[in-house]
Amino acid sequence: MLKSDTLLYLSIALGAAIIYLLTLEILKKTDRHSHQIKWLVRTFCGLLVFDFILLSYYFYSSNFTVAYVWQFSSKYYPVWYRLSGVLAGQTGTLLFWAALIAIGALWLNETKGKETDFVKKSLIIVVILGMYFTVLTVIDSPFKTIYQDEPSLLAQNNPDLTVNFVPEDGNGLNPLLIDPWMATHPFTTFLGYAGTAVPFAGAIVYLFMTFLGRSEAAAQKMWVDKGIQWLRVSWLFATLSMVFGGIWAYKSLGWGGFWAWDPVETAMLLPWLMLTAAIHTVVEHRRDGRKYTILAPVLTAFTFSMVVYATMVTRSGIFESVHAFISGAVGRYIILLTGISFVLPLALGAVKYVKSDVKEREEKSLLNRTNIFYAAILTLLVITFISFFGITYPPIAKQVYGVKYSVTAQFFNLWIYPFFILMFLLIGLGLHYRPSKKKEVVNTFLFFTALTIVAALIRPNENFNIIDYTGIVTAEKPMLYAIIGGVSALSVIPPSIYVLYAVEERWKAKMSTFKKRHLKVKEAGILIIHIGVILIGIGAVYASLFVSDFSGELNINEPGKIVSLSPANAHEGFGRLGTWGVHPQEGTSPYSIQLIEFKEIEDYGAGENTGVPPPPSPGLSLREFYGKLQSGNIEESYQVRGVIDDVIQTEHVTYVKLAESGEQLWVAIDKLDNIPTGITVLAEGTLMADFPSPTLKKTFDLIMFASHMEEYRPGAGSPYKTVEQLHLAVYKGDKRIGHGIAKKEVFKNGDANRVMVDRSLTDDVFVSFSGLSGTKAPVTVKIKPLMNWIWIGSIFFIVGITMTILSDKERPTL
Amino acid sequence: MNTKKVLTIIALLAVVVFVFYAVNATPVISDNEWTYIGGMEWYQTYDQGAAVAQETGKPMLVYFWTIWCTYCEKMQTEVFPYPPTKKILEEDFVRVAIDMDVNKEDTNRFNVQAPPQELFLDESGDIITRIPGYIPEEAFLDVLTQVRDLHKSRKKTVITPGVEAKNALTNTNETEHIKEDQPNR
Repeated sequence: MLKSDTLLYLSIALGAAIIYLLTLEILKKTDRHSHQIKWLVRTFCGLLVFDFILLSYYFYSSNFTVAYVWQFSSKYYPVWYRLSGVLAGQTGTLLFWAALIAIGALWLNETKGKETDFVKKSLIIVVILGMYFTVLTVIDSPFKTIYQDEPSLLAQNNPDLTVNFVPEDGNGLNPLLIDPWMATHPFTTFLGYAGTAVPFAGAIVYLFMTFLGRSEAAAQKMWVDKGIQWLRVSWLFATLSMVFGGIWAYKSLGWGGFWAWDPVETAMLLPWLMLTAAIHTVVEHRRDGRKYTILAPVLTAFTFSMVVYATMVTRSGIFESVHAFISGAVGRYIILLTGISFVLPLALGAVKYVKSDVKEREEKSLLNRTNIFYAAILTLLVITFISFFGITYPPIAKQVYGVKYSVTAQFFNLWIYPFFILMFLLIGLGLHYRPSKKKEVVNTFLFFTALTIVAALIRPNENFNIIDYTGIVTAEKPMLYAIIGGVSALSVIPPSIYVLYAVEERWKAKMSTFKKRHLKVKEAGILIIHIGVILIGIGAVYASLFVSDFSGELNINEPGKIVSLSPANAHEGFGRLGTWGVHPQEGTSPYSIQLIEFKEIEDYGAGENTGVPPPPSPGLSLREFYGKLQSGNIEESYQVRGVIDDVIQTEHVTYVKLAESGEQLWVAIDKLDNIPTGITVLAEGTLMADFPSPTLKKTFDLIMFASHMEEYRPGAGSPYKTVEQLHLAVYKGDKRIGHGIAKKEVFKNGDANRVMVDRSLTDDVFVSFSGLSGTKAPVTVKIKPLMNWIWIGSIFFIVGITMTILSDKERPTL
Repeated sequence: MNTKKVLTIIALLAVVVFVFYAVNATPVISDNEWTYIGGMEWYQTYDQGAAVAQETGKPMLVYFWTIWCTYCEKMQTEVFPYPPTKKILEEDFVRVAIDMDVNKEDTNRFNVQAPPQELFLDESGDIITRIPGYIPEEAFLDVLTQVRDLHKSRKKTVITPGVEAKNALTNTNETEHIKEDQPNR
């Protein structure tokens, strides 16, 4: 294990050598060391990637002498979940991050133009970042063995832990994380995170080179071409990460649905918003080199700053959140990096702003492409700031003034909503804008804006309030809260229609003008992404506001019976009405639920998949046993294995008939009560032929007097999880609206409830079940409207961005 | 001045307004003196509450919470502000809210493992009943009313201050029913 740490130290040394040689080359303006540098970078990258693969292999092969593997894996998991353990803790993620940044360095190393100052300087920054994360990995190494990791849980439970001790099994993941979405979420997160390192370096170097007054144009082309695809790919993975996390949170109880503005969720949104803003400025900057010469690189650099900030929120321990379960020495270094990564681009940008004499051509009219874009970017930045402030201010206020603020989901919904609507209107305006049709464009914009204001005032009932401001518990309710909070959710509809209209107009106007196929694909990609925004927007607003909530109790002994559901807590937040016409006070609802089947399952897991053959079954099967007897191989005692077929109880002795594939054997044992038939047992004892039983008045041809008998379970000794599983159907009136399986899984280190979700375009039927009490199975049923619009919108995002990435013909080739 | 500068200034103004409102009007949940839950003021340590309880002869509700716990949020926005509940809490109870991240002493004193948890004590500090976890507002109101009535009746009848009554309540299955929904973290 020590060897892996040695490799990490070696990568740090290599990094230092690369930086030294690159600096030498830049200062002396030579290419003398280029060959060495090329191979040093390749080795640097190779080592870190190898380290990560090695760690993954330890997980794959369930090497529980590695403390990190022991902590986050179990040999019974399918291979997929064993591998997902690699990123379950801090140290593994830091190593993954370091390896990904090293891949970024490798890309710069192999890219066209690597002999230029620009790429060399960028490479220095990327290598420094890679080294920084490698150092963090070393501080708390994932390769520590259980013998080195003194205060570990394992050592506490095994005081006489010696070097020869190899644990049978690992501690395992938190059962809530054993989910396909959670297995992939950290991978996509860190792919997205790491992708911002190269654009960060490029932007910093660009700012640094151009404020000195050097060749603006050359540097601009260089950093934009190098940066834009990285930004897009990061955006793709950041989106995937949020979608996967959202789907998981949606299905996990206690997480408040697909999006709850938990500090960690919000922290993940910050890089995403910043990436969105950065991509838009960079695209504009690429079209016209005189635009956004400062904003584009600063925002691009900030994407990385936000990524580090997000890591600080999750890992430093300053923030109180469910994610923030780990803190330690590494936290401090991440805070330091956050500070540097914010200050550096800001300072360089400020200096450039003061020194710069590049004047942007001012267009005469108010309405032009530049201004619309700029307004939209500012709106995005305001939304980013609100999110940032919402998670940053409370811990600061707590430290400084000892005051705790109640910053809940309502805080974010309240403040962001107006800007969210403004954003939609600006997207519509931006997509619709054409210099030749200014008048029509303005009129359409004003028409939809007016419609939005009218829609904001129409409130069919209290549920349409954008937030439940009556639920805010303060002495006085600020006026703004009532005004914004009282806005109707209908206000999201007109801007959405506006965007769709603008998309259609733009499609008609632009598609025919493009001759080349890749331009068409790119344009279609952009439009698809913006349709995705609309779908997610509408879905998010309606799915969070109009949830109906019911509860019922099923009896596992009465399958088939239909139980009517009563509205439980039908108001989400105090003061809300029940939804879709069901009032909490009415006590009845049109909904009912039916138990189709109840099952109790014991799962012995994937022990045989670990690469280690399962232990041979103990004892002899009946066939083997008789085979042995016939071959004349007589021993004093035997251990046999068989299924109990019949049981006869007498006063002092229990007679058990074992049967298996046509063979049978009677076993006598000191009285045992409550022996079920049908289970497999192991019995050990001596044999006797022609035994006449005085109490049964029966002579046994052959009988075993067993000294010991126990139940035998194939595979592992005991199940790695047990499952209580309900197969359910939900009805509205006589119509079946959903069916599926809800279950509770109990693992040795905790349990997890797996909800039933039956999806449809209009609503999701969501049933949660958190375990039996006796024969009763209490269930909670939720009807969540338009949930799937969010996921469909996400698919639009993913398809759209992939199209723009693939169609970018100007992308630099290796 | 060009349009972009004007737009920048507008955006900055929006940010300033937001920060002003956010700092001044975001609900404060606790400061150095009080904790504010459900529009009521709560003491922050058991000792403060116990002193007042002894003086006034009122029973105490000791509520354990943390800022990150979602079921606490439900307690605070749905259960405690429920008008009939709030009325009883204001009139008949001494309210103590223990922030488990801050007040470790009281958390350990009552051996509370996870938030939320609601503990009822009489004025001499004996535990009347304990609700481990979240409880919907109607059920909470039931328990609250029972505790209040019991406490009042106990005061009138001067037979060995409430031993049977206390046993009666702690032994009822009431609290068992309520256990559901304890979030596992």
